[in-house]
Amino acid sequence: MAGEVFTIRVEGGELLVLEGAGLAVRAALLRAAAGLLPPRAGRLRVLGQDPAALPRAAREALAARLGYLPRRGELVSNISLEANLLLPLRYHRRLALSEARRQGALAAARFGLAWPLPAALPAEVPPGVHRRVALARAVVLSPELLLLEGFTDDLSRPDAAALCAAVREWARERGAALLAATDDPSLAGRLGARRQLLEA
Amino acid sequence: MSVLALAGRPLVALASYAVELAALLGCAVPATWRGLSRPAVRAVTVRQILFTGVEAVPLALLVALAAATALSVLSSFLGGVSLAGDFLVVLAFREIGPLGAAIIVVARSGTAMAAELGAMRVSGEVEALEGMGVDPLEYLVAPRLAGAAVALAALTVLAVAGIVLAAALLGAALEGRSAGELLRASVLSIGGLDLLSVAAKALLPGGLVAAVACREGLAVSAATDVPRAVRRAAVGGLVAVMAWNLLVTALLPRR
Repeated sequence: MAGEVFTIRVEGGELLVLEGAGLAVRAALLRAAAGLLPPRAGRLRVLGQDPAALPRAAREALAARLGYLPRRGELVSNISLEANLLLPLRYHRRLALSEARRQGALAAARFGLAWPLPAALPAEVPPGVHRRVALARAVVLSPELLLLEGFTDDLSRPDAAALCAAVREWARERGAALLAATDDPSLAGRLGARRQLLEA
Repeated sequence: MSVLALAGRPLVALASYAVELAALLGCAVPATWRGLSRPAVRAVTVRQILFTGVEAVPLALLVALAAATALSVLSSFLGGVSLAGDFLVVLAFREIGPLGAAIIVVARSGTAMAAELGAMRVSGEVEALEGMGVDPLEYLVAPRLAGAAVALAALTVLAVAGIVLAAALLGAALEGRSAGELLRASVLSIGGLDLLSVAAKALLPGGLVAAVACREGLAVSAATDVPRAVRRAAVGGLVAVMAWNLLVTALLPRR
């Protein structure tokens, strides 16, 4: 992807799905937006700021305003589903367990998860439950921008449809922007999102 | 290639590794301080203390018993109870207790940390944490360093006490000595330098072992690197602990 520059603009409350250009390019774009990969060319502004130019504390504050769901490695494998879901609340907001559980339960319910969550590690539950917990964790801080990478690619059609509906509903209520990348040509339609075809 | 070049290259590599570890330890101290205010980080630290310290207690007691058996047999060659007490304290406090506890932490926890972090790196979990604004140094490294330091200090105290107590009891059972007299002689023999030695060898090596393990685990880039990272964590941890213990022994005056 050396030398490729894409112009992508997502406004507040807008849902945009990136298609084409290959998995690696789309992943790199989302990682750049999440502040994980500084662009080698061009200009990147996320919620009005350039992540690469920010000092540590400001970068952390910006990351707390984003929800990021990578294609793999979403959940921390050695802690329970509940600890995963509550992690952003207990890390960024420093919430006590009772308050974190209250907010975590609301996020879990949004994605059809019963509370309390099963006392299990991420590897011990089916992919559909795993992905629901990961999505609930991505929105638990009520982010202004949600970045989703291929989040329905390995799910069954009913699971994918249910999660798309839940994400669309969440984004509408929150007024959040959404940037998703996928191989699935039906995702934009399911989310009711604008689509942008990237041409490498 | 000259002998100097042959010897110099590994020395430079060793020095650069030591600098890297020192930098990691240096960054982990403020990260530990920042993490104290975060419940998520405190939970990882507590888990680490439980795994590295509490769950290792039976093994530490077993090692203490094995060391006490050897010391008890050796002390039987010494004449008076007072001399046997000195011998026991010097070896338990200054050498065997701290080294035994550190080897347990390297074998049980250093290797586990390297494997765990390596697997997390390969599966993309570390990057996912960074994407959430969770600093891996604060959430993954600092709690392991702090947890291992606390756990190794506690295990060292347990090992030293276990060796002295078990050696006294074994001396009574095998040699017909008075366990009470041997214990009393041992306690009276404990000096400031013995305490200084045990403190120096108990407080830093836990952090060192964890720093080596975290460095190796987080350097993994493919699943096939994980076994190598575990081996490097074990060897590196042992070398670091032995080098530190040797340094403390060399610097502290004899009795």
